[in-house]
Amino acid sequence: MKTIRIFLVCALVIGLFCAVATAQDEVPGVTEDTILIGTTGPQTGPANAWGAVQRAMWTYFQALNDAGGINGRKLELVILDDGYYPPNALANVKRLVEEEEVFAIVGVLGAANAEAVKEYMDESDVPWMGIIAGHRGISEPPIDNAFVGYPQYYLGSQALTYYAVEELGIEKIGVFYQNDEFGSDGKAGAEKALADLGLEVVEAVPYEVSDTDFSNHALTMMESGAEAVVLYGTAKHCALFVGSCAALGYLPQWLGTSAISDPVMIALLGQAWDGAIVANFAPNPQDDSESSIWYREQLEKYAEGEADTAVGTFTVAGFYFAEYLVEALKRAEEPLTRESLLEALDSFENVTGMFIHDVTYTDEDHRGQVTFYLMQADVEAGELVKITDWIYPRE
Amino acid sequence: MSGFEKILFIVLQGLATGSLYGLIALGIVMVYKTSEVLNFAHGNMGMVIAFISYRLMEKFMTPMADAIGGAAKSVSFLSWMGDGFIVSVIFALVLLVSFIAAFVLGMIIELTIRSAEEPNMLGLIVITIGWWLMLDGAAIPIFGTQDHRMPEPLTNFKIYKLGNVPLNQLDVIIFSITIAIIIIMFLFFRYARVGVAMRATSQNVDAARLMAINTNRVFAFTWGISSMLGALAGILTASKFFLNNSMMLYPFLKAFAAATLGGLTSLPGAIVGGWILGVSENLFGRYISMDLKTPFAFLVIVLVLAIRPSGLLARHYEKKV
Repeated sequence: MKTIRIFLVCALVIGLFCAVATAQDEVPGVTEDTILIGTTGPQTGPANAWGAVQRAMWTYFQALNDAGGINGRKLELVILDDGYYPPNALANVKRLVEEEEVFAIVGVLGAANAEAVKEYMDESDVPWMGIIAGHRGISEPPIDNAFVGYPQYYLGSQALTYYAVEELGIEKIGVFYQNDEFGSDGKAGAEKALADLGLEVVEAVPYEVSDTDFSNHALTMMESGAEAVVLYGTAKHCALFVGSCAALGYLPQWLGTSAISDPVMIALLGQAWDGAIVANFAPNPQDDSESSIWYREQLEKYAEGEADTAVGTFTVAGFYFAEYLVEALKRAEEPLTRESLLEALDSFENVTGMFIHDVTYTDEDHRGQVTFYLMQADVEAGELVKITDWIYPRE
Repeated sequence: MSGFEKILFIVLQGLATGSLYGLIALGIVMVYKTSEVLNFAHGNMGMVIAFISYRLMEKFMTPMADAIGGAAKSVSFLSWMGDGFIVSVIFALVLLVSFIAAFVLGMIIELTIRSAEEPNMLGLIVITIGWWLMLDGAAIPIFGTQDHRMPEPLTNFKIYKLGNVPLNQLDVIIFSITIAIIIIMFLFFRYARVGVAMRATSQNVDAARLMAINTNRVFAFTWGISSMLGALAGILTASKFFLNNSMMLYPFLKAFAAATLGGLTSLPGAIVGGWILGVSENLFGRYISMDLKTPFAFLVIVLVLAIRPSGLLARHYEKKV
């Protein structure tokens, strides 16, 4: 009897150890046929238009799942709302990692929000990619498990500026920018490109998100005699500024960041936006490329609601940023763990998917895509037309 | 433009934006005077009605204009109705429906205030903040998150010229409407029975009741009128600054500041406060610092309140114990 009892106790203890061992082998958020991914973004609040990006990621995942998923696993997405408020973004990420136990975090929208979350992510081992923040601070210095998705604002404004000087022969260039990291990085890029060419920014006009009237800004820019203006702001603020300039009869060559590449600018401004040039890094949602046609088909099939079925910058951005995750998952070795996913990301060399273009990650460079192409607005046709091929940074 | 013309331009733009602040502030002050409640939902109430107008205009103006135009042309004595006239009539109908909706919305919210279990100021303010959040949240699934330009006739305004100074037709309209509202309000509160009843109720609720004024109806009516003013401000704001579910956020905050500046119990003060805020914002931004425009505006308010605590135009009451 005593022998049996000892034997049973040993069996129990060994059994417990095995259970614990299996639990440790279990990867958070991954099962045989599902992968749980988390993201946070402005579903409500003043930036709620950008909430469509996270929901478009969900649409993209539905499309992929219906086609069989990735390596036999379907993607599930938890979207939390941060109202574009950095403390909420941090609270959401903590909840995603500790309570929802997601496998990885994709996105996190906005420079300020990414910064709020950076330290926590650095200390964790959770893979974080497709980061929707293009300010320099997020990749300088690079964080081991953080892989930026948004091509740098600093590079985008350079592409626009070089084009304006070298292709259009314009030398008097001004900058209209949002007074935060996003806008000032854009201004810095324009300054660098102009300095390279032996020129200077003719006038730099900042604006606050709380500004309502832009007549002051327009007057100042007009007085500077700038013949081209680099615009680094949101669609609404840039549209109000351009509208104020138009009212003054001042119509320089507009050079816009990708954030205002959406055709809504044509709807808001009409003729005043004709001929405006914008930088873009994702496929033109309106054109006839294979990617865009597929994207529009999936949007119609799986998305609901006015904002989510709208063909434009926000929805295509959702597909774009989520593809960083998808391309990494495709390359991740089994068994699928956070380490194998991070290894896959580290191995990115000239990766081009349906949406992302020529992405390379190295130990020192976690910037993601660094290429842009330019489009020009044709108001009569109601769309933007590609005018250059891929532009690479001059480093 | 000469130096003087530039100053004039900046000032006129400031007056136009300031008029919008003033119109929004007017609704806030009206409710505060009568119900002693700061209605934080005021901005979003205007936003919702602006969206309703937008939807009505988008959906009905062209088809109705075509239908009526076609019918009119076939009846000989109605053939004088030009297309412009028909569009104006339908637009007037859209506005009528919108303002009625605004009035009803105001009355509904007032009802929730009146039925409050704890009618102290903080409790009532919390109810209005609740409405602010509800309207904010409801707007997203119902109206979407995109920016919109208002359709005809609230777009493609002409640009007049005062010498070299451009003057947008919409700004002239905003300013004229503001002046008209001032005159109407003055006449209304001085001579109309309801207006006098509202004044009486805001001075002393109990005495008004004793004088056989149905104060409940006055409260409902006040909120209804305030909501209509908010709707007007919302539609004009959408025409000037694009329609979007968060378009009233900063204008409302600035209007609230303007109302404080002019005195929360003074209706003309609301408008004057708006003008002062709009113009000084612009002048400061141009001549001193673009970055500090908004902080400056609030600094002005702090300074004014330090000198005249009740605001510029309000009667100053000191409580002597």
